[in-house]
Amino acid sequence: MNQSLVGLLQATRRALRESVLPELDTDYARAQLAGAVDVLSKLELLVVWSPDVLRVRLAAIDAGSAAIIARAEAAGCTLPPSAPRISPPQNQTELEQAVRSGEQWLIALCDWLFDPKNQLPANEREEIDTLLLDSMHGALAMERRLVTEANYSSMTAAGS
Amino acid sequence: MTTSDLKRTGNSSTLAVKADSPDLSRNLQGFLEHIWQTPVRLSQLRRLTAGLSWVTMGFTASLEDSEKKTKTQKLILRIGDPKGLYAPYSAQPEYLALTSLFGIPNLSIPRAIAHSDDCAILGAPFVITQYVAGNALVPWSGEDTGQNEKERLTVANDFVDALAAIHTFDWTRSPLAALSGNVPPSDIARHETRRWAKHAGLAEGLPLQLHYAMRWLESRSPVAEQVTVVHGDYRVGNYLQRKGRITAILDWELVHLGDPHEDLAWAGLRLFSPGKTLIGGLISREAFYERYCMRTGFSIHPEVIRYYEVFGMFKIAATLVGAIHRVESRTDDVRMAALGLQLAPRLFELNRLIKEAK
Repeated sequence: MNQSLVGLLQATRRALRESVLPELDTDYARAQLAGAVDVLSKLELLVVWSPDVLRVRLAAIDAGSAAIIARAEAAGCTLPPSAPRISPPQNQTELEQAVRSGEQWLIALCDWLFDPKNQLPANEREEIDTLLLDSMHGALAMERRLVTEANYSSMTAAGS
Repeated sequence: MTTSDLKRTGNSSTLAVKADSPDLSRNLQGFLEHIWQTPVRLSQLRRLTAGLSWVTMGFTASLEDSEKKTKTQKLILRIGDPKGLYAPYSAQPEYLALTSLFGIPNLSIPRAIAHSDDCAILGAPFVITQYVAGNALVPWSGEDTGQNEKERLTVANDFVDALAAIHTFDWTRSPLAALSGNVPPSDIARHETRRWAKHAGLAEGLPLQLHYAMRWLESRSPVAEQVTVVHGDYRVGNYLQRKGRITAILDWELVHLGDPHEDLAWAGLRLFSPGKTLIGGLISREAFYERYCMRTGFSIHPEVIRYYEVFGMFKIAATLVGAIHRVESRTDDVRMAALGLQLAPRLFELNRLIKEAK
């Protein structure tokens, strides 16, 4: 979900139209391909990334961030400032923005955590690092489950 | 025929990388006639694989030798597809590696014939090598190697010995020294991390897990005990084998100078032997390291291996981000989109490897 869904559909349409269509020999195959290209063009206007997956991702980010903030406060540390957010997101656009914004804050946290000038005691550093890794793990887990392994051999093998 | 004459033989600036392109055949013939200084006839020009990076084609070249006898050679043309996964390419590193390493004991590689980075000739950088017989396994299919036990053992030994030969080669006295860049051993890991972060579009921002991994790798970068030739993609799938022996180590496009642990860790990534505990389905980790240490005299440091396992997955994830960027810039290779969709599983594995390395 790190790429544009519309871009994916457009790339697929382009490949079918420009790389597959010229290779087809029969009217039936060409007609089927035209149908497939048409379906994809309609889907471009209708589909979004799964809100359920985005919500799981956002929940992991939020839970991790809250735990990190709590740990840092207990240790008396000043964390990077977090961006204000409309909570909870009311639509797909706000959901995607919330995920982006949450991840941006965690990226700033990475930079703070790995900054050699950071005076954080080793114990607190280790705990915050673990919370950060766990947050990223949680954010990736659902998508990991949904995405099956690609068949690279079929995409690269020479023809018979 | 001068290079400028070659440029006038066809519209090579828009040359499609297609085996049946008359421009490709004509310009390739012109190039070979130029370097061999004799008429050349080409036949059987065909694409061998639909790889994601360089395009590999086979062809036959017939020419007259000094005694007017017709000599026929089976050759391989590798073209750095401008739309390929690691574009833009240079043919020079692979050519330097093949010419420098050819003939050293225990390392079978194709003999390099010629190369050029001049896109005016064939439309993209290219390398021409001899053809070597053999077949390559596809590592990620988890398929049975189809070998009997004796063949598996001999191929496994060849696999280790070839890597040891690469790593013990004295590059300082060879054309490969041109790859040096004068990076001190203390900075080699950091240098390579930055290289792949840039490939993933560091300036535009990396995905969260990838950004974390970059910082992690930079903060823990080991000092390279040895700086050796590093193949960069040494694994099952990148060699040819025949009758239980490796006939050629292939795909040298990512060759560079670095820490040999990088190659060791890469070869052992679980991605390249799904469902198997053996490295590439060939050899146990213990046997691999034991034979390698015996052949090289090097020590293998487990914590450095774990570091480079994280680095290897970082490199894979960075490659996939690069594929996503190609989709965004409207490549017509939809396989880049398929690759991009694999990013989440790879980032998940990267997370696991970092936790394990801690």
